[in-house]
Parts: sequence; C-alpha cells; structure tokens
Amino acid sequence: MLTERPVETAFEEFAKGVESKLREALSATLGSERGREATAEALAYAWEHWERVGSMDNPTGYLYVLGRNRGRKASRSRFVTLLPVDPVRIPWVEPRLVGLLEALPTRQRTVVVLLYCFEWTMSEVAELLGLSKSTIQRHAERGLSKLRRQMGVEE
Amino acid sequence: MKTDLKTQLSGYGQYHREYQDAIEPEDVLVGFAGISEPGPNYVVRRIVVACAAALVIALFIGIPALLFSTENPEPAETPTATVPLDVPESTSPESTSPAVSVPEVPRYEGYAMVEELDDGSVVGIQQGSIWRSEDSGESWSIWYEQGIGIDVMVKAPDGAIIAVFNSNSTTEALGVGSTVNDTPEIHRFDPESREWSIIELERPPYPGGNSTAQPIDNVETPCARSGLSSWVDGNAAMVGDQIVILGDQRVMGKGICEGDFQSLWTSQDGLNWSLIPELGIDGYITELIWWNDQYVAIGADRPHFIGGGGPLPRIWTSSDLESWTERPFDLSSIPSGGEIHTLPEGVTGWTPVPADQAAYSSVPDVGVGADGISITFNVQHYRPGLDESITSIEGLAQWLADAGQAEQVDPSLGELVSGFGIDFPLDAEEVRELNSFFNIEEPFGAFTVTSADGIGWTASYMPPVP
Repeated sequence: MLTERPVETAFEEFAKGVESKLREALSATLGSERGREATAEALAYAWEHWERVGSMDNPTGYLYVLGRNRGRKASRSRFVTLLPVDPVRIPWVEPRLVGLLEALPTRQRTVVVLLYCFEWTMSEVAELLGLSKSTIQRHAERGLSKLRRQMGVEE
Repeated sequence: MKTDLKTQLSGYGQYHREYQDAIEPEDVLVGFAGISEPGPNYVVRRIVVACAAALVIALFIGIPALLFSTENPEPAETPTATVPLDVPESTSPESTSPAVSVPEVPRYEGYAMVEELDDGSVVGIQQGSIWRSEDSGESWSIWYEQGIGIDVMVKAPDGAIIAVFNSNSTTEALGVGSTVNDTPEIHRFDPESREWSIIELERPPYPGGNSTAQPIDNVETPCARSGLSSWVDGNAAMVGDQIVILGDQRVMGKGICEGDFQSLWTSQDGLNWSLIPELGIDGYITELIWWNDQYVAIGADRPHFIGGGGPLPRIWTSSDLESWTERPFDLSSIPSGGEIHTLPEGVTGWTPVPADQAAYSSVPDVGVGADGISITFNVQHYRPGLDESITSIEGLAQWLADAGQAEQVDPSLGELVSGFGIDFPLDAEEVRELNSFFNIEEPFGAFTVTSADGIGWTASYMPPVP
C-alpha cells in the first residue's frame, strides 16, 4: 500500500520531469498562455488521479490530449497566440515569424514548433501525437515550405 | 541578409523557453508540493499559480502584442479571402474597437490594464485580484481582492475604476418556477476618496415573471451537471462615451439550460447606472461595439449553448441601446451544407444542417477601420457524435478513424477511456462525456461580413487556409 509521502514524491518527480515538455507541447498547440494554463490543468488532473495516471505507459501523451481538449473547451477562440518576438533580444528572428506560425494549421504548427523551435526528436513528437514518423515528417515539410514561401527565405 | 528559417525557429524556441522558464521555473508545481492528499483545493492552488503567471504574461505578452499589432498591421496571408471593403481584416481580438462581449468569451481573457488617476501607478487584473505596480510594471502586489473572481475592469471617464466581479450565485435547488434576476457585482474605486465601494445594480425583471425551466436535449456547456442553479455574469467596457455592462443570466442544471436573457446597464461614472432590462431583439448578442455614431450588436439568432444546429449570425444597430434594427445580409455565398466536404489534410467533414445553417462559431472577430467594419465568423462543422451503438473499445477506435481522428487511436485508447470511468455499454452520460472529450470538429473556413455604413452588409466566404 502506498503511503502519503511516496505518492507525493512520486508525483512531484513525475511533474518536474514532464512539466516543461508538456508545456512546450501545449504551447505549440494552443498558444503560449493557453498552453501554460492547460499544462497546469493537466497536472492538476494528474495529481488528483495520480494512482491511475502514474501507472500509464504514456502519461505524457495522455495529459497532452487531456490538456489540449480542456484548453480548447476553456477558450472558444480559434486563434492561437504565441509569445511575440523581442527584436532586441533576438534581432535575427523576423517578428512576423510568430504570426505565420500562429496561422499554420494546428498539426503543422505543433510539429514545426516542437521539432525546430524546441528541438524535440522526430520520435518524441510522433509518440506525443500518436502519429507515425513519416506523418510527422510530412507535416513538418508542409509547414516549413509554407513558412519559407511566406517569408521569402532560402532552405 | 536574411537568416535561414531553421536558425530563426531555433532562436525563437530558445527565447520562448528562456522566457517561460524565467517567469515560472517550477511554479506549476508549487501548488502541489506538501499536499497530504488530493482534493478539491487543488483548483484554488492552481488558480493562484495560474493567475500570477497569467498576470505576468498579460503584462509582457499582451501589451507588446497590442503594440506589435499596431506597428505591424500586415495580416497573415490568406490567399482565397475576398473582402469587399478596404478594411483591415481581423486577425486578433485586439483589433476591435471599444466593445463589450458576452461573459463566456471575455475579450481580454481575464485582464485589462488601466492607469490610475494621479500617481501614475498601473493596475491590472487577473482572475481573483486586482494588482498594482508603482514602478511601471517591474514589480506587482495585490491591491484589492474579494475572494471571488473578477471578470473585467474598466476605467470611467472621471477616473473611477470599475471592477465587475463574477457573482455566479449558484443558488442550489431553485426549482422550476423560481425567479432568477441576480446582477453582476460591481465594485468602484473612487478617485477622490481613494476607497472602494460596492455598487448595487437594479435587478432586471425576469422575462415573463418566473422561470419555466424545462429539461431540454443536446445541452452544451456551461450547464451544470447536477442540481439547479441560477447563473449570472457580466462583462463591461467603455462603449462609446459610457460604461456598458452586458449581463447574461439563465437557469441551468442537469438537462436544463433555460431562460437565458441579457440586460444592459450603462453609466458615465460607474456610480449611477441605468438598466435596460430587455434588449428587444430576437437573438443573442455576443459583441457590442460603438462605431460610426451608432451601437452595433453582433450575435446570433439564439445562444450558442442551446443545441439543435448552428446558430445563425445576426447584426443589429441602435442609436440608444433600447431601439434596435436588424441589418440583414445574404448568406448564399456560404457553401451548402448537409453533405460531405473535404477539409484540410484530406479529412472529411459533415454539415448537419441546411445550407444557411452551418455551425457557425459563436465568437466573431470584429475589425474596425477608417472605411468600414469587418466581422469574421469562423465556421466549424461538427460531425455527428458517437452514440450508444458503440459497444466496445474496438468500435470506438473504428468510429474515431472514420471521423478522421485516427491520431487519437493508439494502444492507450482503452486506458484513456477507462480513465474517465467509462465502461461499455455506454449510457447517455458516458456518450456525452466521450463526445465532449474527443471534441470532434473541424474548421470549414470563415465568412466575413463587411459594411461601410453599418446599414448595408455584404457576406463573403473564406475557405480555410490549406
């Protein structure tokens, strides 16, 4: 039988390990602020249902789906808002890149942001989204192609 | 010389990560540390954490976003859009003129910024509290809180600060026949006395006297799952030269979501208010703006949370908020419904209703320019939901695949479903839960309604960006 302290410790360790990944994934899908809130929502759910969530094979994927759906329900807006570019801190990044990322279809944006902004591996993205690597590759190519065309940049 | 795309994406990702880590290194965990057992209080802890984080985001993302949108008005490329007028196409809620919207869709998503009267300090709200900074946003402390959520804050012309608190009365077991006529809770900061006081608003009479709440089918959120409660909420903004509170209330309960009606309260100073108990329109307002010397109300023929097909969009105008005129527009350019459409990425969508009754989004985006006004309704199609005929996890997987949601089918599907306490065969409650969870919907594009004078309106269809 689990005692209180080990349960708490186990959850904290899990949450510390998964929080940044979950936040990045949900930010890529829902936008920066809504992604953050959805992450808190998903972890709150995980805490309350820790016995079940903690025993899952892919709890991160489960919490991503849960956070994504609850985040969508919480805000009926279809618009996604990402953190704007600070031209002083990252002058080599075109400010309109953010708007173009926001305008991508959800799956393309999620894949492009996770792969190229947060530098996840193809396997990590595929596991999270429950898609094959070839599908991930296709979404990435489409998204990058669209961004290049709109920004007028080279390969 | 332009930097290549992947370098820009990587740089942006690093910046995004550093930014988020800096403002919330592990704060999301703070609320959970030291908890002896799970319980409902986690919500309170989560909200406290989220509020603090969101306030910071509001300050450092929201305001730069507003400034950015002003300095860089170029909209994202939409190859197939056709907007008859030379007005800025709405790309974000921030493009809207002074407006008030229904409480479920607060325009500023829970925050608003004003500058205090005489000392130059800045105040902002995040759900639950009003925060204040005396050093241009460098540091913040809670200035005013009442232990209940704040919906919105607005600054009156005389410098008074008006905070609308979420007064959801949640009176249990009202029962059919009860009168529901609560008001939003208004707190006013007086710029002279520098004190807060509660302002009593006049209660609107319940239309027809008493509620006649009856169970209805196909109820969506925010109806409660059990019990019966009154619900009242309000949102406020400066519209034209006065503060307008749009109140929205209803009786809700399991299978009941009835009696919704909207009222307006208006004021010049936040102290003296006039009630407009019923708007006298055949519909439901989601946005109210002041434009071209008239009020323009945007909404639909009925509230979005009442099921039975998508609400039809409506536009009304008024010079005094009491007498309204509907302004019709032609929807024949909208693709016909009741058939299968191919959506982006090869997904098929289904329109459940006739041609002029696509499932329109309830939250239009409103853009106002020098030459006119542009309102964009995003169109979504909802597939027919799953039902009790699905008798196994394999059947659910097949249904999801047929619905174009194959990515939701994986070995953990059974675990996911059972995690919600759902077993086969499904009962009605479980069907509702699953339909809600899988959120089966696809964007079908949008249509934009534009006008140069607020009287004549033209609708044009805009397919989804491929």
